[in-house]
Amino acid sequence: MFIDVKRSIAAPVCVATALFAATLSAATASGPITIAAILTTSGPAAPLGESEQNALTMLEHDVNAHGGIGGQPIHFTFQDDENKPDIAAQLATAAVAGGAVAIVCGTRTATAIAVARATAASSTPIVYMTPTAAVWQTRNGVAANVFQANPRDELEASKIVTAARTMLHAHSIGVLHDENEYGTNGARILADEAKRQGVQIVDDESYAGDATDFTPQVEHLKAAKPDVIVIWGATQTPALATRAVRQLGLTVPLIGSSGILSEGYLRVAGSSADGVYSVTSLAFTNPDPAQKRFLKSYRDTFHTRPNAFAAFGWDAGNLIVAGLRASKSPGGLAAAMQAMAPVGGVDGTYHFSATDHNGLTAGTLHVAYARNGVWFTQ
Amino acid sequence: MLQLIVAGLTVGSTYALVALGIHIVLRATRVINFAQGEFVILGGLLAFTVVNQLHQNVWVGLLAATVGGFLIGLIYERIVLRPAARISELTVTIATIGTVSVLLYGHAMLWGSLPEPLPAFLPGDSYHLGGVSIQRQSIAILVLLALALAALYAFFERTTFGKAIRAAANDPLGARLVGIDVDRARAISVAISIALAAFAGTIIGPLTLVGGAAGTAITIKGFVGAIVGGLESPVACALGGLLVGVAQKLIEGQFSYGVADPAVYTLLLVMLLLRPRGLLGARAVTRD
Repeated sequence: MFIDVKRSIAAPVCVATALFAATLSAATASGPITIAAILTTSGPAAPLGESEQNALTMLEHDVNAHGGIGGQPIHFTFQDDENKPDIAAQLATAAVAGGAVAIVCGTRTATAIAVARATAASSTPIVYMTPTAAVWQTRNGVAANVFQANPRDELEASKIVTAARTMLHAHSIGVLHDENEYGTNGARILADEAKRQGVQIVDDESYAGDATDFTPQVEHLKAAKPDVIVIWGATQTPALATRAVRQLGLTVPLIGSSGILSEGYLRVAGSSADGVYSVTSLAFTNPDPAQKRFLKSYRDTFHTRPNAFAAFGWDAGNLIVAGLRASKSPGGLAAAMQAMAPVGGVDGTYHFSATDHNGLTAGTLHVAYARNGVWFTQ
Repeated sequence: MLQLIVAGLTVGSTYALVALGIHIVLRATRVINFAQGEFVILGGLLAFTVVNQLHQNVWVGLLAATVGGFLIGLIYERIVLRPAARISELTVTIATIGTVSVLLYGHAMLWGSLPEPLPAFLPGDSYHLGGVSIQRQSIAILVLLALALAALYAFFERTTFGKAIRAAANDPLGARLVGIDVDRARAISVAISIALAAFAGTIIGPLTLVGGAAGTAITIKGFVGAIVGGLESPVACALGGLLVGVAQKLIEGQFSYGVADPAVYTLLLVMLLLRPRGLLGARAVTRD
């Protein structure tokens, strides 16, 4: 059997040449600075990822309209990770090999973890947009290249328990959470925070990400008689859970994690969502000046009100832009981001340090509530 | 307990209709249609289109989805199952597995992969009877299931054409000898099976959303229902589907949702090993 040497080496050579060319073009001063955006823009999480993509598109226009980074334009390359960690990891590896200076990722926690692992050996910074701090706060210490653009679970849990205790006068909480990393982690942190504030967790129920019936969980919650139910999940499943809670006759107040703060949740939950509380850093009703500017730009560009996920996308992109402005060389971008001056974002001010790659404080969060299919903030 | 049984019967209605569809195709073609659950998803999406794009009410959506499912079933039989059957039964089985992927990705391309809500058949608050909350939609689902089963029974037992289809399934050669068009009978059988799937996808839609990637899980649960009840009998298949739904919810209620699926699949293995004809099956599973 003969081996066609020319053919056998042609493909790897072509791939290597293409990667080298891509790296070269990304590094040259004349071309745009490429930032990979690996988001979930299909499947049940699509409304979240699409909002993030919209905000990043808006940011690209905004930065380039104001002269780019030292005269060089930026460009986000959007790719759909299909909410699959393996695909997210492959896209991240390709983005690093292709010369992307940074990666915005993590519409969902599982994909953020995958991208963080895939880029661990490189110095390419990644900014992810879910509240799970464990992606950068690892058992081995702070991941040098991983940053978080979202108030972390601890802040959210603190705000939720405080709201349950002071606003709803609750002494006990029943938890209904997604079985995934986001939901399980959130429920664990919520339990710790409840204990700290002297509120009792009387039941902890979980559901599968694709669950459509919640009768057993709601029956357990009914038996536990909590003053408040906290639903910790994202996308449309918490909306079905909300419907089930109400249709099965439970009338206690509901508080959702920030993962429910989307129009998709309101559309599916329908009238059952009326009166549901959540927490958000984006104050819809009384925004601060930075949020007001963001809300107006987004509404002018896309003719709809942004949700919290759009704000995460905007902040994630802005953190990289701030890092690029502070950085002396592309190779030192992660170090520059860690050391840069506090960056004011839509979700608050990010104070990065060697021990904190999130830097937001509890004061950035507001209580939101749903009424007639719209989210408001207090 | 009663609350969980109501939830189980509601969920089990879909499994019952899928099990029945599997039974009908098995009788007609001697293979399991692994795409049955994907046709459930397709039915829900057809109804969603009629309701949301054509602004019709959900009852019209149900009718359109069922008729659409029937027509799609005819096409499916003609361009997929019949040519594959000319090669071998294994080829037909593989073709149904291939259809799963085609429909799964086809749904996402045409409708997107975001599950969508469907309006309730009976809008309004739940009924509360003795501490048990019964959603109006659950009542609608069970009534529609009963009507579908009654209509199928009447068709197969009381009409000449229905009897001809049964004869073609039981003894194709004998049926041909008495002038029955066996190919046509098989096509109608498959079409009825797909119409049932589309019907199931629509009636459950207001509770579960339509679309998404749950087709394979629905097929497996329906298949477990058919095995538990008895593959050879339509009534046994339907009862088996309901039983699986109730068992699933009772196990979830007693333990946790994470235990229910493994328990249901273990039940499948136990049934296959100890009682392959099912709880209500009396005759041999395969035809002679």
